[in-house]
Amino acid sequence: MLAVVAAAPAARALAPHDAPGGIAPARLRERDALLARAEAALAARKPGEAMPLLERAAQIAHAPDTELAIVRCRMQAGEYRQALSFAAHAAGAHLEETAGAGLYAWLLNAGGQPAIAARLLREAQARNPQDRLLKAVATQLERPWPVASGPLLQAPARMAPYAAPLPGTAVVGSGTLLAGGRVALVPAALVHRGAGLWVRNGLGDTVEARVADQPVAGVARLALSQRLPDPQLPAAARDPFPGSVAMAIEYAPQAAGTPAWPLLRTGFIGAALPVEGERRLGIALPPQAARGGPVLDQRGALVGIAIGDAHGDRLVGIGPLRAALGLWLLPPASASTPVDVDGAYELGLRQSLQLLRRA
Amino acid sequence: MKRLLRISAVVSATAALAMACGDGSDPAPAPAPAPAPAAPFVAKLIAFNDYHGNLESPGTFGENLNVPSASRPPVGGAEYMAAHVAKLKAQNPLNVVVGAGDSIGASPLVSALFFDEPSIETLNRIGLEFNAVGNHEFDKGSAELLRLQNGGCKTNGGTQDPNSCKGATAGTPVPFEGAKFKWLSANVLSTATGQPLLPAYGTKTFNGVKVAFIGMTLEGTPGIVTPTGVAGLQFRDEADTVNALVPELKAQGIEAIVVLVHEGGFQTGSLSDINGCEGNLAGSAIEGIVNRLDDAVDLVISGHTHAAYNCKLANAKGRQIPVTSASAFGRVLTDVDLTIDPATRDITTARATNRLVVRNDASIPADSTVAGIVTAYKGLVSPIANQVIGAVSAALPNTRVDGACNMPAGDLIADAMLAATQPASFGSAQIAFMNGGGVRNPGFTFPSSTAGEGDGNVTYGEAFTVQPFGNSLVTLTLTAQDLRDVLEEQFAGCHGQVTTATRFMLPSNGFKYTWDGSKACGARIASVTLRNGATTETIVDAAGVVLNPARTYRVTVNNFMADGGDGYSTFLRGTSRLGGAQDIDALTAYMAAFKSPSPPYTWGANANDAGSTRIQRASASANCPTGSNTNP
Repeated sequence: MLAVVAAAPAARALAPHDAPGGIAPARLRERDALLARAEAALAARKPGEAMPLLERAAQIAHAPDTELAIVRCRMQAGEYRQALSFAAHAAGAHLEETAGAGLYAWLLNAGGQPAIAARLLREAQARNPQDRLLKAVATQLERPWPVASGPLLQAPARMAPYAAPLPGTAVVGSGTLLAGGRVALVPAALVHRGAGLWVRNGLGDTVEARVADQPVAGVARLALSQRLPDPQLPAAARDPFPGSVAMAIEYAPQAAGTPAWPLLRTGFIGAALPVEGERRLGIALPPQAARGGPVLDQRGALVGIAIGDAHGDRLVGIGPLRAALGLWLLPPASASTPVDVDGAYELGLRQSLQLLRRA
Repeated sequence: MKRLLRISAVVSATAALAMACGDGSDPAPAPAPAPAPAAPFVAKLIAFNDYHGNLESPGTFGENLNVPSASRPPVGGAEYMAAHVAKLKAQNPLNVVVGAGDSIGASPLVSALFFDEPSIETLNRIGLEFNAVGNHEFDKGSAELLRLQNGGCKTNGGTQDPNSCKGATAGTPVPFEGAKFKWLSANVLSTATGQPLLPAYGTKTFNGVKVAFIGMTLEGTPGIVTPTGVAGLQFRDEADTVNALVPELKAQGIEAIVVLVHEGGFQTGSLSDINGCEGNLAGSAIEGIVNRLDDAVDLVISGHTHAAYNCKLANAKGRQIPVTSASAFGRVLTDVDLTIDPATRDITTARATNRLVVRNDASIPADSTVAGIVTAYKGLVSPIANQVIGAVSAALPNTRVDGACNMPAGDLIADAMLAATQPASFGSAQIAFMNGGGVRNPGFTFPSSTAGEGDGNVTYGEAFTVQPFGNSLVTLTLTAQDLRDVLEEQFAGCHGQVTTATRFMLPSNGFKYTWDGSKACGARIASVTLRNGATTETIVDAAGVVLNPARTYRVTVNNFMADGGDGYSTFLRGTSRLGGAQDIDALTAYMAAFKSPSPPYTWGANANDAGSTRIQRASASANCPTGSNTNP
């Protein structure tokens, strides 16, 4: 995995919101030091080191800067559900700190709740009509593909994972991690042998990749130079039925190659196509992308990957993938309990990949 | 120990005074006072604070910060809160459950989207009895707080908010039941009346001894809440408020006093053990309050800082009294054994222990009722539920609309079943049948629901209401004779059907038949035809003769029917069975063809129906048979 060289952005100075009075100056200095160390650990993509420091800071004052850092720490660790829950609290408990509302709205939108995200953002903007951060978030969320850049990459409300920069690359599409973290499936139209390729998950883990063999059904298999953490998503036993609920997870294409959290959208698998195992995707995703991300069912099982082209979005189902690409490595889906969209997004942070290509 | 708990309304003159300020007390009818035992006894107090609507687990948590992350158990979640409270209550029938504020507000979407009604409903079932207000109880203003206390639906401009009163789905009463516990606000006064917004205290009687619970938020609440949230309210000094109430309580013979206050402190050091008190909360707001409390106060349950501690701090007389806090988000419960001396009616000792609300103790299974409520609200918050899957041009009820027993909603579902299984790889179906009992109320409605999808549009949630069973489709092969037999089998007492029920299935488009309920079993069905485009095939002629008994057809039913459910035992003869999609998936896929801008689904408009209903009756009766009488 690539080493992280990004510098830790300084935490914006925030006054403790409703911390009780009487905190000794020495304790406040201790808190500031803890936060600074935690932010540095986060920027170094070490959430395991950051969290104990943040927990200690939280035991000194109940303050938004600490809570927002905890949210980002949870995201850096791939714990979307806890991040979202805590972001809800941070946004509601610290109305004066708009970064909380901005980060919460961003996470909701990313995780498949765009309507609610938009509503919460409107409410926050009504309270803080001149707030630049909220305006920047709103501008992005109104776009098909929100992309965090500039102020939206600064603590306390950085809206992307920390990751090693890859100058000269662009995010050209998405991919799906398989085979214990050693293989990625991507749209064949986006890759060719000899191209400079990397993949990066929603935690910012980035590795180099190469085309492994001939594409099948418009899907190429990439061999990864190092293993990426794999949530061992189970695969569905068969191709999904038209009309079944599904969740697609994709990354925004972008010229800058910036790390990002993926976007999850829900819908219903569309009609069967003439090719065995293929379906219309049936999930409304932002336009003009080659796709490549995983599509999950309501039990969190992989039912296929999305492929986009001039004819629209289609699903290449698990059947043809398994037959053509040997996906027998995937553990079979058991009688698991359903996962909600939050749980699916959490799986998707590791299972979905940004596909980066040298520009 | 015999349970001698008394929960009653006080009726004495002194109590009348208390009612004015307190009125949070003992709501149940008063049984005859039991003679107080001579010996001291123990009552159990269970406390928590800063729940913040965390219906779901907030993650893992350790007893202190030195516990490695990998060793921290998963904690919290309403269903486990309920289970742990129940376990503690089972240890002592003399018990009370209290909270120190911020039970709602700044809550996750699953609670916040529904105005925190899910939090109240689950706290009711967890058994909370007295709860101090915290600053977040005022996030939406005092009127909304009173609604949450008293029940009723949230309205906007006289219209019910679509996200309020969702109990029909959650399995809770409609309208919203309100808090069964008493919110207490001793130091929050209405500026208009000078009276506490909510009762200042509540009482509960154990073995004839009354214990008072004074509840309040921090005086500084106005500084940390939206101004509109605290408009028209005064927030008074916490210690002064408690001390002013002590004489009033003593006048009622109450010596046992517990303060629930939404204010707190932090331990010093780096351990933060949930049962520790490093630094004795020195310099904290809660220390400042406790230091000024009347000596009559026996225990302080605090909160607000989200910290956990188990302290003893000096009161105004220098006596060390227990002061606790239980972290936040339902991670921790404070378990306090109160020793009460009946002779003095006072608490002599209070032994407190903070306990993690772990989710991995096999001896403490989740409360299934509370879990069900949480699951239901999770479903409601799903972005799937409100997605439009298609549209209908008029309501399609799940009732029989004529004497022949046609049902528009059932016809649509049968059409969807057929469409889903027509392709060769999905079954090559030619006919589908839907059992009428599987089409749930109210069918497909036309007016927009409260979700606001628009008239005629059908959301996934609405479709799921009509087809909630999760049945899967089964396509099987039947002969022409089987088809006639299963149609005969719809009538009470005919073939495998019970004698008390007549059950008409709903066929898919193109399939038609005529029945005559006045005839005998085996002779009621005639004129069975199957039309597909320009081709119409007669399966049973007008005289009731099966023209080609051995000819086979691919027929789709749901797995309930395929297994002989609803008395359709003929389907058990079906061969070459192929399992398929879930019924709701088939419906969703089919409705996609009727989603705007495409025209909506119109009952009877399918070309294969050729302008007449699928089920025809020989007589002109308007009464569809459902029971033993096959020809009403």
